[in-house]
Amino acid sequence: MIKNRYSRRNVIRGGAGFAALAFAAACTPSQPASTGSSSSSSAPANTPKKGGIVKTVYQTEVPHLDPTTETSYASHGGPGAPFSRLIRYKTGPDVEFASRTLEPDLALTWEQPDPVTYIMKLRPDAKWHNKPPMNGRIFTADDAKWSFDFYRDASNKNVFQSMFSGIQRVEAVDKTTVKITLAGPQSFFLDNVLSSHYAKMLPPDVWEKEGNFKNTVVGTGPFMFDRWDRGVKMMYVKNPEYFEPGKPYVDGFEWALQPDYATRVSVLRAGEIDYGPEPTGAQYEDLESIKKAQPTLIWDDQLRSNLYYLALNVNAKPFNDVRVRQAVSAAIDRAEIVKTVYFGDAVTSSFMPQALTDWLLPKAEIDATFGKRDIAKAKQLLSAAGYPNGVDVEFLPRISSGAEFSLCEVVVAMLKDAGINCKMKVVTLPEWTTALNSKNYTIAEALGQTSFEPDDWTYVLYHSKSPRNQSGFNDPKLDAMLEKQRIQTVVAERKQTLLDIQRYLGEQMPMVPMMYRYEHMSHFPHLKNFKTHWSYDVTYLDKVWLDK
Amino acid sequence: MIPALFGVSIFVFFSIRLIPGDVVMAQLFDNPYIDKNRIDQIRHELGLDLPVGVQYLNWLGGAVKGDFGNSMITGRPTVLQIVERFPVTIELAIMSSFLSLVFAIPVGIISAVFRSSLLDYVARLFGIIGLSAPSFWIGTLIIVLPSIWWQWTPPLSYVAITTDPGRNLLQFLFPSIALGLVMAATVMRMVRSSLLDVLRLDYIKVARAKGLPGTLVITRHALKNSLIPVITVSGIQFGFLLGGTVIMEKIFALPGIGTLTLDSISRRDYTQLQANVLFLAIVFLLINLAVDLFYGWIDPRIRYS
Repeated sequence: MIKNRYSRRNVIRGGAGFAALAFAAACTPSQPASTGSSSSSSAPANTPKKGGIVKTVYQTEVPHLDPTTETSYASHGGPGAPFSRLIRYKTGPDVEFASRTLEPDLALTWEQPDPVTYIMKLRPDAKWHNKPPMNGRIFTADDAKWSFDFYRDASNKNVFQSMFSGIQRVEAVDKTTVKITLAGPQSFFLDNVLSSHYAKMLPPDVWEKEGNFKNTVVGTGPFMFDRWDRGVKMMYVKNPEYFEPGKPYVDGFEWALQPDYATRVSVLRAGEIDYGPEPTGAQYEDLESIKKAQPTLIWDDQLRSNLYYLALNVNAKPFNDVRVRQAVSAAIDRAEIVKTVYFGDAVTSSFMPQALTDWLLPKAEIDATFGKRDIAKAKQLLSAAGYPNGVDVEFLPRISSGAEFSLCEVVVAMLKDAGINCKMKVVTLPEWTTALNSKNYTIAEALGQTSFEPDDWTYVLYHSKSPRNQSGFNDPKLDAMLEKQRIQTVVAERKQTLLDIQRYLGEQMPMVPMMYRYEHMSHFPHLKNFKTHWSYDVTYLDKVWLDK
Repeated sequence: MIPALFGVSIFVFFSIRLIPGDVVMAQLFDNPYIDKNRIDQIRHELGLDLPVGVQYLNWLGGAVKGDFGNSMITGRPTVLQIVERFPVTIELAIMSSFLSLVFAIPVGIISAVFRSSLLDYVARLFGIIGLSAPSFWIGTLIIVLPSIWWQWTPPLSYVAITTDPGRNLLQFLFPSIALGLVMAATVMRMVRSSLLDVLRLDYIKVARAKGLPGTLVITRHALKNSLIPVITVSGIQFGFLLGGTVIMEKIFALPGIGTLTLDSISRRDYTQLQANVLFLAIVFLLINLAVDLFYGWIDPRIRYS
């Protein structure tokens, strides 16, 4: 038996000392991660090398493979690679992240003889993947017509009817010519409908045979679906008969599931993936450790198009009064939120993303509306609205953890200074969505959509008939302007209308915009010709190659 | 057992429907294009527009015939999805339990035998840390710290044991360590406490007085009696592991029944969740039965008429 040379007192002292050291080490603040653009895409093309599998990780398991019943990035990111559209956004190392330049996909050329007619001339050599039941046959105008008719058909289970509802009819003029006639002009038809990641060309024979697209994936895109290890990963292989000769250069890509964010970042640190992590890269607090672990990583710091804003129910007290809505906006210190919640890794915003430079109000006007906090003005507005002693409201945060919840806590504190006393009601995300969609809320923190099309930031959010009009704003004057910009095909005219809309929104404040965050995607130098793009899929992987 | 399962089925069926939102909203909440007609149509197809009692009776009618329905999200049979996922969870549970026992029993013995020594204090400190530290925190550190220090992570892409046994076991080793360490803390303390009680008994004194070596006294005479409460604890821990490895499965990207259950809850996949919980209840009850039967084998004093 060992003699007891260690008294209980000494052991406790030693343990306490160790714990104190460990606590001190944990509390030592790390240097804040550097932010701002350090973007340099990989070097312009050298000679592409063939072969290899590109690897990345993503966050959420898809329920099935049918792209017509799901809208999430998980279902359209990697899983979108086997499909093509008629036209697509140009991507590549020389293309800006927010660029909306269009280029041919299945359609080689297109023309618009009148405001409601589009003539699309298809590639004569584009083929379906050489898999049953399409078996590598040529993609024809009939296939395109079938796809658009499918999307417009309310009797099948696809969820995109309203997106294509502006199409009056689609005709296959000949094997390579598709004529699309709209019910009325749409200024964004090419660059927000036809080129949308949701406008995939679908394999008709799969539908005829199986009645759904859940299990069989056949497209015309650069990659073919290979297999799905449920809960583990999806594998895609190159399409050897892709209509762009020589591409893709890689043999395929691996889309591995890693639900936990810390794990996704760890595999990047360990060099287990070639780029990512999907969907939005690393968060600012991890940048330093990642850069230290992998100094050769090439970073692409971009502003996300997702807007953080405060949704206000304009049909319920107190936000049925525009003065109270204005008070909310005046009480928010956006610059302070960017500094304290996001450590500078965000930018303040107006009603549309900063990247939409062609459509935004002049900076001076934006700053005048959103630039500075004015508590005195907020209180004055509240008092004029009949709330001299403040008002109590229920505040609905979107999620209950992380930086976004910290944002809510800061906002609630700022509103309190103005006399708007918020009682937080924490709910699950589907409950939050249900509350906003049914207008069963008072004020809520919200996160906007991924889009660089002005219509998505105006008509979709504020038109009285739009299902995404969360505030319930119903203003005939605004509706008229929103409908007008939809059909204005002359850019200068549309821009003027959009400027007028933004000014009117600034007066009415149906929602209170706050900020956008940066996205920090990175890739290893051996992944050549790579640059991310805001569009919702990864078909830009057809341009990359591996040089290990 | 049947009444218990019946009660579980009622509880889970109605409790999940108390959560606001349903599978339709959970699936389509970020869809900017859906309209109310389509939402109502989907609800009708899934039978969600029927009274809740009718929904339960419809489901029960299928369940007693072995048909637990299809997942409301994937459309695949719920039983098939359980069969696919359960081997992952059971492998994790077995390895975790094995590691915890391999570690905890010897440490517990040493701690009891060398009571109040440095070894004992270290072991008890480990016990306190193990009881305090969440397994998911340990699991996260196992992944994050090596990636920072050595740019290395354990294997994180699941491979079935039949495909590549070596890689499979290596992948399961790390989450099993994380889970096993936490379990081991409880088991170690139980072994220590139980062994100390047994070592005080007269028959142990007689064994020592007869001149038996200390090792034999412990292993042949004391240990078997002290393991009875350990079996209880380990059995319960194993049962909880089968339903409680959710976070570990998520961190280590293991496609087990834990993540299936978590996804079912967050997506309001009622049928899948009902099938999962019922299945886990059955397994838990069977494990308890096995533990009770094992008592009878290990301790002749316990017999069931």
